[in-house]
Amino acid sequence: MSSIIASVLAGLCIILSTSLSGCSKDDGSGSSTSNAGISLNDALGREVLFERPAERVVSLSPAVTEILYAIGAGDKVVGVTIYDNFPPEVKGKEKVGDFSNPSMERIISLRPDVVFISPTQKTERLARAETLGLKIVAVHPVNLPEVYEAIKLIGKVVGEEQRSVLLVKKMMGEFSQLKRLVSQIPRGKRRRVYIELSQDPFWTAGKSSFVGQLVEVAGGDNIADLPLPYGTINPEVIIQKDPEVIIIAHPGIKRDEVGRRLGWARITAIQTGRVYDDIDVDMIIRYGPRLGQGARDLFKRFYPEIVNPDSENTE
Amino acid sequence: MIYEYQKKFYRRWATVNLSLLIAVIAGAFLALSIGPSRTSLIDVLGVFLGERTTTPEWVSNVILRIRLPRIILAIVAGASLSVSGVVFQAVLGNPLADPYILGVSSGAVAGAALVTVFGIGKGTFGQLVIPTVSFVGSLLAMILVYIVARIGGRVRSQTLLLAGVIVNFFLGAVIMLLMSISNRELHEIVYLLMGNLGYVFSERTIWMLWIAGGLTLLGAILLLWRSRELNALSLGEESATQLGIDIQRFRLFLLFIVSLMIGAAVSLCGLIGFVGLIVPHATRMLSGPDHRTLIPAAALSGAVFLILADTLARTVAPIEIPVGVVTAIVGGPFFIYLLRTRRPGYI
Amino acid sequence: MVNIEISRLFVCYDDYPVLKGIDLEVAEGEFLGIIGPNGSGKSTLLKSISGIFRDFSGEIKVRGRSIRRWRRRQLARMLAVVPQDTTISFDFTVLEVVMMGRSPYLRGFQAETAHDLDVVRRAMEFTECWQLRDRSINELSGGERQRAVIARALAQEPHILLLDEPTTHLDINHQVEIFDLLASLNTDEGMTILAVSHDLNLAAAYCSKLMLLDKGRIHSIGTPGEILRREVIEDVYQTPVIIGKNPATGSPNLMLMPSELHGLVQGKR
Repeated sequence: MSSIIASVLAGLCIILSTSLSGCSKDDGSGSSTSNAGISLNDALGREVLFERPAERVVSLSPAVTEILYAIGAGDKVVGVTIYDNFPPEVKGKEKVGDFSNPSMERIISLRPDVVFISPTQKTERLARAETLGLKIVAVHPVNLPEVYEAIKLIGKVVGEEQRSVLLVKKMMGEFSQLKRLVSQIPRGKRRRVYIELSQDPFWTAGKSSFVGQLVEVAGGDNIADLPLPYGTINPEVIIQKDPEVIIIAHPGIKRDEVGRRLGWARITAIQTGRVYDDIDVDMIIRYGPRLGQGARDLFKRFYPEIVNPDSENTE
Repeated sequence: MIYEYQKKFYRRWATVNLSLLIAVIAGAFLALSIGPSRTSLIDVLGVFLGERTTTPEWVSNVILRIRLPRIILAIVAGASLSVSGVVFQAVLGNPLADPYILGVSSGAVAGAALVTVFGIGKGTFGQLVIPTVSFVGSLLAMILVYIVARIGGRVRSQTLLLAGVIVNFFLGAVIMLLMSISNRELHEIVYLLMGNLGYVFSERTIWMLWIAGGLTLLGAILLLWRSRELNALSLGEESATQLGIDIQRFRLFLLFIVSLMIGAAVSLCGLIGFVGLIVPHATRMLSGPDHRTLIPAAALSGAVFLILADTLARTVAPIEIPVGVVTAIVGGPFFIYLLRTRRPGYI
Repeated sequence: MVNIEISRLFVCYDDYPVLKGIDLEVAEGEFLGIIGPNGSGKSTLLKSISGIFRDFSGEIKVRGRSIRRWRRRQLARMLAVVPQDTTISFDFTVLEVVMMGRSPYLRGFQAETAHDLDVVRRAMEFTECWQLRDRSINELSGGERQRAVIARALAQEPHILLLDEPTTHLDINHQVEIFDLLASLNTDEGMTILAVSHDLNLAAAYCSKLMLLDKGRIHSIGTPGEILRREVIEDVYQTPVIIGKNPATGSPNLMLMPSELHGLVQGKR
């Protein structure tokens, strides 16, 4: 039984780490480019060398796929996971499986120059693939600065460094725009927010995760005070902290079911009807180019009374 | 003479069960007053004495709607798992029997997982399907263990534990299969496997708690009614037969009741291990092996044990740990201790 | 009155025949010793009579009614068994164990009456284990435990008592003690007793009748004097023996000898 539980925990980790991360704190992405080629350190702390930018890319993370498209390397993508759905063009790409059990055979047959993975407990198996001549790069940002680094790293690998820097700048610009709006709201008046990533048990994002930071950027006062980037939260803490806005960031339930949970009826968010289940979850839990849009979507739900940030946007 | 004999029995019965009842109540109050959001025993008293003006509304919400259902679930699950352990031990004539070790709980989880993955368990009617299929799963697992373990009319510890390992492996494979074909339901199965009393009840699902509680109470009463026969059965099949018990029918009755109790509990709280082993054993030290005393005593001490284990699980770390982990950490070493210290006749 | 009536009894374990056609009548008040080598079917016969095995062909009647038609509770008031294996996995007290003998008379939620306790106490006094009543059954010596289990059987107030090897694993003093007990139950209470025994001499000294089983059939049945004869025993057990007489009781007494002396005895014949 214990082995089952171990693999189950692994499975849970995988689910949460695919786009959320949570298993490893190590980021340490750094790189240097020289005439001799590209040398970089990936999220597993390994040094990976490229003689020339990768032309054929397999992405085992939907977030990485989105980044690749955003920096103009979409046509280099030759293989993705079954969960990839953005941008729409990705539908035509070869599917190599899910995050944890991709088909090694299919990956090899695609002759990729690089395989981007999210490090999980099954990484060892993937690392073994390096003896088959595959280049593996693990990407695993936990917070926003690490997201920026990861984007630059991906750009470096595919030879689109400049566009990746531009993407980071664009995202930072989107965030600072929001921050300007938020800064006009006094600290004490920021909305108390609970963001629910799953139920049974309740999972939420802490302040050290990019999801939590996104909430903060969007002017939310995250009620979760977790020792880890992501973790469980006891419902009584939610009731005590009395959030004004509840974001349901998982497809399990609908908003009216939240109000029927025992003891939740008196929570301000429920009393005022400020429970949202309509957010595009992928925009906030994938460390990709749409985080800025995700943050704006959060802001709109936190402060519907304030001017729509989209209207100010030049996009 | 008879007066003295009965007085002795009733005195022991009352002493053991009343003190355990007090322990349940005390444990429940303790658990009601402790939690990650800071509340005190005074808050709890305030809520129950109706002095709600002095306590903030969220406090009474937390105590009555979050902690209380959870504690009731702990009582129901603790009682049903521990009484099931008692019955297993009597049926198999072996004090090492326990629904978790023997894979019966896994049977219930496999049943629940099956329903979850195929998405039948939605809606009010669907939610009844999960406990029902859990019940069938635990019943089948139990029959399987029994067939594998029973050799020549006797169930020996070695074959029993081996049968448990085999059935656990088999059901583990079934659960893994279900997990591999599941997508969004995966974490619900994970939740069942880890054992957790934090089931999220809503106004529409709270009746499931009452059903589980009702089944456990009904099961315990029916078992108490047949407790004299359980005594005879724990002497062994032959002795029981010649004491006038129709073993086949009685065993079927017992397996049915126990599956019902385990199915009801496991579909709400998942795999909580070793309760059925530790608690009956510890309770026998208090109450003796007479099932007339043992059954209510085991139910009550199972409740106390799980209330305390869950309070620990809720509060010991900044992040909640599954209660199944707590019981396994206590139960594993205890199981080894039992295995090594039992008299040769037992094993 | 005939208490037990067996006709054409066949029992098979997985196609392997264990009892091959037993016909037997046991009258009220008889003390029948069932003897025979290992695997001759003694225990199986006892288990068939007590209703533990129902998978037999032929007929077994207890007090004129087929064993298949007895309700278990009713049968348990008529017939009690002392099984061969008396190990108990749980720490019941001796009194609790003996009180279980009253199960066939008690219903769920029903408390024991003064009569029940009275019966139990007499059974325990008779077997001299009343003073052990508060001890755990697992703390007792082999002989004490055997007496307690007999007391449990007696608490069922049976007319017929079946015993499967009641004296194996016991010291000789306890062996005699147990058989003394059975003899007085037989003579004083008129109880019908069937006892499987390995010990031919004990059986011969106490039983009114002996039945010798061999390979699933009745080899011979009769008084101890008729059964414990050299040619009969040698035929069944395939070992030379000397039959003497117990000087005290006058019952036949069987003596064994080492193999190297076999020729010597043969020569003497």
